[in-house]
Amino acid sequence: MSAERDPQAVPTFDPLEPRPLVEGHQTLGSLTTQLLHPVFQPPGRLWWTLFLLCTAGVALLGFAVIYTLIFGIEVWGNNIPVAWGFGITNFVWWIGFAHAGTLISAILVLFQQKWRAPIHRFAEAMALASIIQAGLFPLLHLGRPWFSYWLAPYPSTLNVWPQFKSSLTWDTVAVLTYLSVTFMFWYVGMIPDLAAARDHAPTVRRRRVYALLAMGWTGGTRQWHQWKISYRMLAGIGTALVLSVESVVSFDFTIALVPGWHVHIFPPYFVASAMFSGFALLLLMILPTRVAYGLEHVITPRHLATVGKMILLFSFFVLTGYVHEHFFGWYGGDPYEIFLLEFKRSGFYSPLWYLQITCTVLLPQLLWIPRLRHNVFVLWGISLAIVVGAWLEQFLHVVPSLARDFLPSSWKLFFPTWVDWSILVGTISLFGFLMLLFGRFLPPVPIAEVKESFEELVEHKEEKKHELQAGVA
Amino acid sequence: MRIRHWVLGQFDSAERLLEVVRHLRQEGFGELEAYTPMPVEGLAEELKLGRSFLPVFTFLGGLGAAAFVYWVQWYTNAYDLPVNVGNRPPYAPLMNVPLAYEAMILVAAATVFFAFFLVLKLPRLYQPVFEVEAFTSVTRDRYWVSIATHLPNEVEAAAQALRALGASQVATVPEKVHR
Repeated sequence: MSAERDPQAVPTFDPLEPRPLVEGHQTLGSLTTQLLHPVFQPPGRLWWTLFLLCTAGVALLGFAVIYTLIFGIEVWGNNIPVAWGFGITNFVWWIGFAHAGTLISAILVLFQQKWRAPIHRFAEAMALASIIQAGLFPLLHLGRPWFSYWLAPYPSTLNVWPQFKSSLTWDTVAVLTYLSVTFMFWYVGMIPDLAAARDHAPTVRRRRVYALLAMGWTGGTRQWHQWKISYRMLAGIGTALVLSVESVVSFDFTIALVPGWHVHIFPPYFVASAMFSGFALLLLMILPTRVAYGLEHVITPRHLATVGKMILLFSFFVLTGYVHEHFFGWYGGDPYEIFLLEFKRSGFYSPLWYLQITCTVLLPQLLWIPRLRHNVFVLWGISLAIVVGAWLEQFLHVVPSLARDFLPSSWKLFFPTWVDWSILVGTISLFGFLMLLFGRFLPPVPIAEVKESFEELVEHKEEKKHELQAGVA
Repeated sequence: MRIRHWVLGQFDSAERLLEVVRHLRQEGFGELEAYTPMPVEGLAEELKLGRSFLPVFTFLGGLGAAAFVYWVQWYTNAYDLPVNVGNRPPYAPLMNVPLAYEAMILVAAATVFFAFFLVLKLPRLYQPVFEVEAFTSVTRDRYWVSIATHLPNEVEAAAQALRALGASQVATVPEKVHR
């Protein structure tokens, strides 16, 4: 049986060979059927329960947003000087998750990492859903979001153009670009699988819908050729994009003079931290989903262990970020910076800081132990801790610096209100809502790419067989 | 109005498909196309598909967009209505870079995305190959070859060639071409 069930079992495969990316006795036909199964089977009780819970959460979100629009940002915990509270915390948290999606989709294509194949569609959908959540916050926290069109350079009677030297303007363009490019990449990648859904759909109505979405894909060589070129180019563009978007988000902090924000390490640190939290969210969702949809032989223990190793690696990048922040803050000699870092370590919000370190640096170290790395419950628990730790990290970026800035007379702490919490819970529900719909209607695992992986595996096995026979003979 | 005949043959493996395509090219059949459940190495070379100019267009489009957005920022913030914000210089080259970079990426990605559909002439919901009910196996585990010809007497020759090469199914589809 698989090592997932009993890691102490004697492996039945050659330990010098990497574990196969597709397990069990499969054929192209059986893989197609299994990978289309989540789309064609009617949703069970579990799906409906989660869906109804998420719908309730979305209703809560709608209520909290309308309440905010009517009564203003006063109903949030924001005050002067802490003018950015949950709004920007949640924005950076959500945008961070999207980055692992693009890392897996785009960057790993460029590195030719085959193990990305079964999980990248899920990661991209997660990225899209996260960007949608992230986009809500800059809009809402403007206070008067109906004037957000002022950010575009249209000829107006206001006699003033947008301020393009501000990172807030850069954010708008960066997030919109990220949303568009992620959607384009996701959709182009999905067209062959939508064609597979079209060809094997159980009802005429579903066949028509998938036919529309598949746009007439036949699987012809010209189509595959163009698809491969477009896919690789979008991967390259996506890589350039993801590194820039998170850097632009970090510029929200770095171009300011507030102590604790004008830190040089923020752009790469934010990128690494974003990918770190995104991998964790991916595992958090994929671990139960692969069991619910019966996809354990396609999203194998090897994939999970690889993502676990990425999480371990990125925890060190994040640790480097923390060390840079605190060491260079001290080394620079700026008294305001030094005071702020002390406030983070021993002030009012310091328990959150220790919790953040535990969740993002200490707990992932458990993944050094192979037995734990292969245990799905441990992986899930650590992923949950990382997701919470990432939220705390963003909170502690935003709030302490504003609560304790230059003049003691301006100091004031931040406390969230029920509206803040409702919007946070609401965006989590909207995210779940979108992911559940994705899992229900669109093929969650890329069928064509898994089949390509499988064919390579078969070829490899045959080559090995010939080698062995030649060796024996 | 002419009729283009599509002769289709189904095969069971990618290696067989590559051999079939090679044979058909050698026998002189013109409009060949192969259909596969996933991309197959070597097929594009067999069918002599040309080089794509998409990377060049994308690069130029991206650079053009970056230059344009950089110019818009200079024009609006430094030339037309400069506003003193914290005594910062109205024209700051480095501060104009993030937006220019993002615009470059957006236009480059949009070029690739729309070029994908334009080059393949998609959406094209009706394809002659869809007339064959068995063709749905192409997204499952079978490999198909199509030979398109305007000459009715070539149809039989093509069908025989496919049968001789071991096609598990052969079908013919007439397509009315309005040109």
